[in-house]
Amino acid sequence: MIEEEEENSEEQENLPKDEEEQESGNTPGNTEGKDSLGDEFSSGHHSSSDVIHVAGMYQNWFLDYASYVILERAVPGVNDGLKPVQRRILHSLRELDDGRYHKVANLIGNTMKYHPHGDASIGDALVQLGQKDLLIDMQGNWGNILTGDSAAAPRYIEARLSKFALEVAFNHKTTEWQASYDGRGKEPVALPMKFPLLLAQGVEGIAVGLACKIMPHNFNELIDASIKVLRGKNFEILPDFPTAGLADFSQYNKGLRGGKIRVRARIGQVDKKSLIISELPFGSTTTSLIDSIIRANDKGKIKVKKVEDNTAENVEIIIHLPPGTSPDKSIDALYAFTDCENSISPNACIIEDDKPQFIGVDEILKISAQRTIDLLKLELEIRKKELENQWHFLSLERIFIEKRIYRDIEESETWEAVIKAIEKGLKPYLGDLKQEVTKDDIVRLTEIKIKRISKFDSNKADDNIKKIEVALKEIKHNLNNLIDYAVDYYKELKKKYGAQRKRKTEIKSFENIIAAKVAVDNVKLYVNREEGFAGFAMRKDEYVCDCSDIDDIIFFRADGVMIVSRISTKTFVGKDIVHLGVFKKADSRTIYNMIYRDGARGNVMMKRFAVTGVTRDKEYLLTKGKDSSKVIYFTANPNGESEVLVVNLRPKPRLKKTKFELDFGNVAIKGRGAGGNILTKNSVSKIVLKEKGVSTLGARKIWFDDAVQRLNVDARGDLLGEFHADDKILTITQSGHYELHSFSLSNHFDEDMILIEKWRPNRPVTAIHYDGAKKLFFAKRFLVEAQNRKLLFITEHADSFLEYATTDGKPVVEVVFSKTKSGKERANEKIELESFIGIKGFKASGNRVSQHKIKNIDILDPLEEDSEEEEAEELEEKPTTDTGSVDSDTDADLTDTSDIEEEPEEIQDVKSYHNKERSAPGPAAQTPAKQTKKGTGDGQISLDL
Amino acid sequence: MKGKPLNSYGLTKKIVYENEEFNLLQSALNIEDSLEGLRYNNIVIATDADVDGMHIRLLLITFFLQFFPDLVKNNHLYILQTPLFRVRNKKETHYCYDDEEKRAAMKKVGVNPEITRFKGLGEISPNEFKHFIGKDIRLDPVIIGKESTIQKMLEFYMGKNTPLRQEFIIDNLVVEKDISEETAPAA
Repeated sequence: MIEEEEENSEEQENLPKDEEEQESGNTPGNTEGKDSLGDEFSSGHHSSSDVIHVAGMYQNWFLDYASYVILERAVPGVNDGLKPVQRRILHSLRELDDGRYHKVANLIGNTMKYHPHGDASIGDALVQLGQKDLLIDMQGNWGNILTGDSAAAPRYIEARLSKFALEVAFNHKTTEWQASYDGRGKEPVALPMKFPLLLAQGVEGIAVGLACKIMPHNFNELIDASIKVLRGKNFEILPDFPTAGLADFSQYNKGLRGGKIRVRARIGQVDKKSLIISELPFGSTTTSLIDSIIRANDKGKIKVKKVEDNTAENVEIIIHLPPGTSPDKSIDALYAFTDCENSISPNACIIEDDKPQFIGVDEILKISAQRTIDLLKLELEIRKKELENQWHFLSLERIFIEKRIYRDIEESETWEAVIKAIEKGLKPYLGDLKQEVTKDDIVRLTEIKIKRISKFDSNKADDNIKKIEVALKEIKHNLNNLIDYAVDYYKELKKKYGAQRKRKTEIKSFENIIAAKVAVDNVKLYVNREEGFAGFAMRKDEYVCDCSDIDDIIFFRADGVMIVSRISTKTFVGKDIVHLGVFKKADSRTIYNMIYRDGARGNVMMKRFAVTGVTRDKEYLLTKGKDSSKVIYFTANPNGESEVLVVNLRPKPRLKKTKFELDFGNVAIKGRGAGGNILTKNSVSKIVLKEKGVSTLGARKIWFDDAVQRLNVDARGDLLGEFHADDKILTITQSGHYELHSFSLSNHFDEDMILIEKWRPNRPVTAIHYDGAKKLFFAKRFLVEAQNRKLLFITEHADSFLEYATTDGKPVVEVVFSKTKSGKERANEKIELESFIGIKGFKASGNRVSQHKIKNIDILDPLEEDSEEEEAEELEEKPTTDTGSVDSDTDADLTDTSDIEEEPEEIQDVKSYHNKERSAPGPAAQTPAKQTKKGTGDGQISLDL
Repeated sequence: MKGKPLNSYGLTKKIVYENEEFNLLQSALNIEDSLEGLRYNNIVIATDADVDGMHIRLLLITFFLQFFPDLVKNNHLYILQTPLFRVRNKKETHYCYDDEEKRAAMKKVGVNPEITRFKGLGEISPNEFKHFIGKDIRLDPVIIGKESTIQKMLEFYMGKNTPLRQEFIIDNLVVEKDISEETAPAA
C-alpha cells in the first residue's frame, strides 16, 4: 500500500533527523557499492541510523527476496523432495490424521499455523500434491490433469494421507524439529522420507535467478534403481509421465540443465479420413492441444476438417481430415506444427545444506537411497535403545520381586532410607543387568502397583523378557546387515504399492520431421517473367503452382543465372525468368535440360544437370560466363526425363543440313557448373519438341529403418529394394492382415507388423493360421490382390491367430505333436508347404496341417528355389560403380543402367531401361537382369513407367 | 495497490498508460506532464515487512527510476519503516525495528517477554499504527547518485537473468535464522 503524505514546510520538523542528514547526503561519500556490483560489499541490513544509497537498498532487498524464494518457496529440498509449503501441508495432515477424510478448508487453515501466507496458495499446492496420486487420498472433485479442469472449492473436497505416505514419510522420533514462524508450534526441518519422492513426483518451480524443473519417474523403476544403488550396481532411470504418451529421452542427460526431451501424443489412424489422439504429450491438456491444432489450421500449416473432443475417462480427440489428405502426412504435420510434439528442457536444481545445487537425477537417487538407509538405521537404533531400556526395567522388576527386595523397605522411616534399602538389596544382582541402575529406576520400582506382586507370574515376566531379547537379536542382525535390510524394505514397498504403477510413457526414438517436407501447400506462387518478380501475393500475374509458405523457390534467368530464394509476398530476382519452381534440397532426381548460346555469337551448348546444394540468394552461373550468353531452351524434368527435339538452324550459305534431331537422353548428366557439350556451331533459329521423354533415371532405392519404423532414402536400416512409380510395399501384421502401401516416405506402419518387403505380385504368401472356431491349424497359400485396403486373411474368431507368414518360395515347417491319448510321443512331421497346398484365394482356409493335436510349429530353413523363379529376399547394399556417365556428385538414388551388370542375382527388377525402338548409344547399355517378371522369359526388356 | 506491481524495467513509457495501477499513480501524483505539477512533496512507500514487501519496494522504486527519475533525485521518495517486532510484558511495550533494538528491548523487559513478529501491515492495529506515522515516523530516503550506475544497477537486478546474477545470488544467500534462536537471550 502506498501512503501519500501531504506535507508543507511547517510540518517539516516532523520528519526525523535523517531528513536533514540526507540533504547533505547526496555526496559521493555516502554511496555504497556504487561502482562495484557483484564485488565486495559491506554489511547487510540497514538500520535507522545510517542512510543507505539506493544501490544498497536494491542489493539488500533483492538478496533477501531472492534468497527467500529460492530456499523457502520454489526449490525443493533434496532430503525429502518437498517445497516448504508441501512439507507443512503434510505435517499438518499428519497432525490431524485419524484415518478419516478431512475437509480441505480445514486442512488449509491448520497449515496456516506453519505457513504464514495466503490460503489460496496453500490450497493450490494441496490440490497439486493430491493430483500426483502418491501421498494423498482424495475425495471429491480434485480436477483433471488431462482436461485441465480445476478442482472444486476447498469447502467441498476432502483429503487424508495415503497408507503409503504414513509408511514412508513420517516418524516423529527420527525427525529434526524447529519452531514455527511465530514460535508457537513445532514443524519439521525435513520429513524423514524413506523413498525417492522427488523423482517420483517431479517438480517445477520458478525462483529468482534460477528455476527448477524435474520430471516425474516411475514408481517401480525408482525402487529397482534404489536397490541397484544399495548393491553398488549401475543404473539408469528415465522419466515416466502420468499422461502417458511417447517420449524420446536420448538427450535426457540425467535431467541436468542443457538436456532435452521430446514428448509426443499418441496418434492413431481410425480410417483413411480420421485420426485419433489417445494419449497426450506431457505438459499439454486436451484444451491446449486442440487449441494448438486449430491455430495451426488457421495459419494454414495443417489441414483439418473437424476436431472432436470425446474425452471422458480417457483422452479421445478425433481429427477429421479433408478428403485427399494423406493421413500419414497429417500425422507428421501434427507433430511438426502443433503441440502434439513438444520439447521439454529439464533443469534439476535442489536445496542441499541451505544452498541451491544443480545435480543430475542419478545423484538425487543416490542421495535418497543413502538417506533411506540412514533413516532405517536410525529407526533400528532408536528401537534398540527402547527395547534395551524395557529389558533393563523388566529385569530389574523381576529381581525386585523375585528376590523380595520390597521387604527390605518395611523398616525404612525416611525416603532416603527407602532408596538406600533398595539399593542395598539390589547390589548383589547388579551383574545380571546390562545398564546402570539409576535413582529414577529405583523410584519407579517403588511405584509398582502392589497387585503386581501377588499376581506376579514369573513365567509371564520371563516370556516378556525373552520376547524382548529375540527382538533385540533381530534388530542387531538387521543393523549388521543394513543393506540387505534396506533392500528388503524396498522390495516390500514395491510389493505393497507397486502393482498399479506400471510404466505409462513409451520410450521411443523419434525421427526428425523436417518441416519443409510435411508443410501443406497453403499459398500459390505467381510470377511476372519479364519484370523478374515472383511471390505469393502477386495474384494478377501468371500462376505457377501451389506451394508452402516455407518453401524455397529456384529461379533460372535467360542470362543463364540460377538463384534459390525463400518465397515471400513479392521478390525481385532479375529480368527474364525462364523457369521457376519449388526447390527441394538435395533433389537429385530433378534434371534440368538446357540449351544456351555461349556469348553473343558463340557455340550453342547443351547440358543436363541437377541442383542439389546451393546457398540461398546466391547467383550461380550456368553458362560459361561469356557476356550476352542466352538460354535458348530449358526444361525441368522431375524424373530425369529426356525429350527429343528438332533443332532448326538459321539458313547460311554452304549449310546443307538445316534441321536435325537431338535426343537429350544422349547428353550426359553432369554438374551444374559444367559447360556442356557443343550442340552446333551455327546459330539456331528454332527448337521444336518432337517427343516427350521417358525417365532416364532408374528406380528409387528405399530403406526401412526399424528403429523408428519409417521408410527413408538415406540408407538407414534394411534395403527393401528399388522402386518404380507403381511399385508397392507389402506388409503383414501379427493380427493376420496384409496391406499394400505406396513407397511414400510419410508412411506409418502398424505396430504389430511382422513382415515388410517390396511386393512381388506373383509371389504367393504362405501362411499358417489357427482357426479359433474349429480349433485347428490351417496352412494356406495365396496371391496378394492389388487392393488398397487392409485385408484380413485369417478367420475372424476371437481365438484365431496368425502363426507364421512368409513369402519364401519353398517354406518348410516342422510340426511337433502333443502326446497321444495313450501317452506316447508322436514323431515330428516335416511339411514342405509349397507342395502341401496349392495357391488359392486369400480368404480360403487352406488345408488342415494335421489331424493330430499340435503342440507347436517350428520354422525350418526354406528349400532352395529354382533359378528361373524369383529369389527370396536377402537384400544387401550394392556398391554403385561409377561408370563415368553419371556424375560423381549424384547420390545413391541415381543409378545407371550399367550398374546392372554388377548386381548379384537377388534384385529382380530391371533397374533402368529404354524403349525398345529407340537406339541407345552411349551410356545406356542395356543388360537384361537375370530375372524378369514371370512369363516374359529372360533377356526381355520390359518397359514400365 | 494490490499484489505485486509490474516490473517496468526495459519497458517504454506507454506502459504507464496501459497499466491501470501505474496510470492511476501517475495521475494521483499529477506528474504526467512534468515534475512541476507534483501534488505531494513526500511520497512514502509502505509495504509489509516480509520478503515479498522488499520485492514490492524494489518494483516500485524501479518504476519511479525508470519514468520519473527526477522525482527520486529531488528527494521526494521515501520508504516507511514499520517495526519488525513487538516486545512487551504486562507493564511495558516496545516496538523494535531490527534485531539490535529487539535485544535491547528484551533486556529492558526482563523475564518472560512476549515477542511478536510483525509480518504484514495488516497485523498492526490502528491505534498502534498511528504511533508509527506520528512524530516518531521512521523514513528512509531513497537516494541516487550518478545516473550511469543507476542504469547498470537496474539492469543487473531487474533485467533478464544472467549467469553473473545467478552466481551473485548463490554466493550471497541469506539464510533466515530460527525464531527460537532470536528469543534466546543475546550473549
